[in-house]
Amino acid sequence: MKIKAAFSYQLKNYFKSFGWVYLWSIAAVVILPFLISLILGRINVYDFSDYLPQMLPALILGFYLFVFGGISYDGFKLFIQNGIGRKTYFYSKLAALTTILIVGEGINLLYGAVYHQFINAKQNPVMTFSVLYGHYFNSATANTVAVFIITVLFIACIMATGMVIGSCLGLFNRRAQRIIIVGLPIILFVLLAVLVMLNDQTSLKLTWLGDLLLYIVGMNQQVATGHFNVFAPIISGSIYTIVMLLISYQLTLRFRVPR
Amino acid sequence: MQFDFNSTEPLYLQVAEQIEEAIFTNSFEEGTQVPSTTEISKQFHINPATVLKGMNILVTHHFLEKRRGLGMFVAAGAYARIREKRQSEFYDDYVVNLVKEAQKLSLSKTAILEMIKRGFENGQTN
Amino acid sequence: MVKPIKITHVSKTFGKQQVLDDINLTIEPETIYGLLGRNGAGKSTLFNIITNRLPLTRGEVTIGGQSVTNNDAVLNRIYLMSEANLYPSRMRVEDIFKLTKQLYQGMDEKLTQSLTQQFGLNSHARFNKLSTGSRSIMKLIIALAVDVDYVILDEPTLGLDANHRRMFYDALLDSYAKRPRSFVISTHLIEEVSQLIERVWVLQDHRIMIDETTEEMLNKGYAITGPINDVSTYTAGLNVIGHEELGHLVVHYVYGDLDNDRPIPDTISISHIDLQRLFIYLTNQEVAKVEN
Repeated sequence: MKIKAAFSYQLKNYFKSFGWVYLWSIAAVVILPFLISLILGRINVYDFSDYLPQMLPALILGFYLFVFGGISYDGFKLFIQNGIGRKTYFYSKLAALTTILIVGEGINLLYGAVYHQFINAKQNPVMTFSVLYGHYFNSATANTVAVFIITVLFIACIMATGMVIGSCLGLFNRRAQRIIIVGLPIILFVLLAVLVMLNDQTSLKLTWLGDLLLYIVGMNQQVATGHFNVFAPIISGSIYTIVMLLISYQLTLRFRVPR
Repeated sequence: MQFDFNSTEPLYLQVAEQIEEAIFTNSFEEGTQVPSTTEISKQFHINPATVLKGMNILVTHHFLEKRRGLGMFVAAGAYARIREKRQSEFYDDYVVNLVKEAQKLSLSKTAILEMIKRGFENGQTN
Repeated sequence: MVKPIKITHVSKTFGKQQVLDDINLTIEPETIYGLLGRNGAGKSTLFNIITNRLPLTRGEVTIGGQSVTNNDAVLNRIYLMSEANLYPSRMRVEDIFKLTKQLYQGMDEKLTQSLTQQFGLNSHARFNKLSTGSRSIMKLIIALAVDVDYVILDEPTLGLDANHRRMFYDALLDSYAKRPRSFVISTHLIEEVSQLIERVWVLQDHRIMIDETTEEMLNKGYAITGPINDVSTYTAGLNVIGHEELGHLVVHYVYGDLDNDRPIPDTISISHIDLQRLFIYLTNQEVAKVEN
C-alpha cells in the first residue's frame, strides 16, 4: 500500500487549507467588525474581545472537518489518476483528518486557556462539555480527560457525518448532486413539520424519541447538570462515528471514473 | 541516407533493404558503424524491435556485424556479397517481369534482345 | 521482473447496454500495442477497467495473479493518460508534476524539464487555463517521465499539431529505447502509429476482433485488382472485407490466407494494404468477418 505517501500528501494539503480557513475566519469575525467600526468612526467603542468568541476555534474545527470530510470525490479522482486505490484513499484521508482533529483540539485547549487568562476573564465557560459532564468523577484529572474525550468524539461525529454525506454525493454526477443538495433539506424540513404536527394533534406521542436522545447523551432529570453520565456519550459517540465511517468506507469503494 | 517506407512490404524487410541499398551505394562504407537501432527507430518512428529484426537479416547475410558493446558495423566484403546476391536475384527480379510485360505487349524475343543491346550501347556512351 | 497484465473474460455493461463482451488480452512487458476501434467501440471503457477506475461486470484484470481492484502495488505500476481531467483544476502544472512524483514511485525530473521546454509548456500555468493541446502535452510529459511499467495512452495526440505530434513520437521512442516498458496506444491516427506498434488489437462491436502482431496482420491483408470476372472468381470463398469498383476494374480486399492452389490469372495483381485501410475495411460492419 502507498499509505505513507498518500497520508503525507493529504496531511500537507489539509494543514494548508486548515490554515487558510483559520485566517479567513479570523478575518471575517475579528478584522471585518474592526474595519466597519473604523469606517463608522466608532473605533473608540470597539472591543476586540467582543468579537472574539470563546468558541471560535471549536467552530472552525467542526466546520472544517465537516466540509473537508465531505469533499471526497475530487480526492479520489486525483488518487486513482496517480495509481492509488480507493482503500488507501479512504484510510489516508481518515488518518490525515484525524490528525487535524487532534491538532485542532489541542489548539482549542490552548486557546481556551489563553482566552480565560488574558482576553476575557469575566466570561464563564459556556457550552463546553465541562458544563454538562465536568463533575462526574471526583478527580479533576479524570473529569478533564472525560470532557476532552467527549469533545473529540463530538467533533469526530461531525466529521464522520460530513464524510458520509460527501461519499454519498460522490456517487452521483454534478446535476444529481445539485438536486440532492437542494431537495433533501426541503424533504427533511417537510418531514419534520409533519412529525411535529402529528405530535401535537394526534395521540401519537413522540416523547419517547426525546427520552431516547437524552438517554443516549447520558442526561437525566434526577442528576444535576455537570454530573451527567460520561460513559453514555462516549459509547454512543463512538458507535455513531464507527457506523458512519463504515458507511462512508463502503460508499467510497463504489467510486468510479467516469461517474 | 534517404529512407523511404511507403511500400506495403513488411517493415523489417524494408529496413533491411534500405540499409543494404545504403551499403551498396557506399553511403555506409565497409568497416564503418551504421546508425544504431535507436537512432533509426527515432528518426523514422519505427518500433526498435522491427529495426532490429531488419538488421539481424543483414547480420545473417554477413552484410553487417555486431561488435559487442560498440554496435553494428558494415562487414568487410559486404559490398561484394551484396553484389553477388543481387546478381543471383537479377533473373527473378527483373528478367521474369521483363518477359511477362513483353508478352503482354506482344514484343518478340528478338525485339527485346535488340532493345537490351541498345540500352547497353546508350549506357556506354553516357 | 515485470509481469504481464492479464485481462480475462472481461465484460462490462452499463445498465442494459453491453460495452465490452468477453475481452481476453495480455499486455506483455516491453511491448508497444495499438488498440484500434471506432468511436464507441469501448476502448476508453477497457482502459478505465484496466486501471480500476471502473468496476467490471464479469472477469478479472490481474498482474502476476493479483487483481488490480484497489491494489496500489499494481495500480502504481500503470499510468493512464486520457481525455478525462482528473487533476485539481486550479493546480499549477509544476505542482501536478510534483504530486505525481510523490504519489507514484518517482518521475524523471530531467526528462520532465527538457520535454516541458521542448513543447513550450508553461509550467507555472494553472491546469484549467491550459488549452486542450497543452493539457495533452502535460499528460504526455507525465506519461513518459513517470516511473511505471505500463503506460496507457488514450488518444495521446488530441489537440496536438503536426510538429508536436512528431516531437511526441520522437520522445516516446527515445524514452522507450532508454527504458523499455509497455505502451498501449489508442488513436484514430493509425498511419502515424502503424510503424510504432508491435501488436494490434482491434476492438469491434465490443469484442476483440483481432489480436495479432502488426506484421502478421499486414501479411493477411490483400488487395486484389483486375477485371471484375477474374477477380470475383479468384476471391470466391475467401474472406473479402471490402471492394471498390471503377467500371469493369475492381479491387477486392481480402483478410486472411489466399488459396495457394488457385491459379492466379495474369490479368489480376495482388498486393498488400496498409494498416489504416485494413482497419477501415475490417470495421466497416456490413462485409467484415474474421474467422479466428
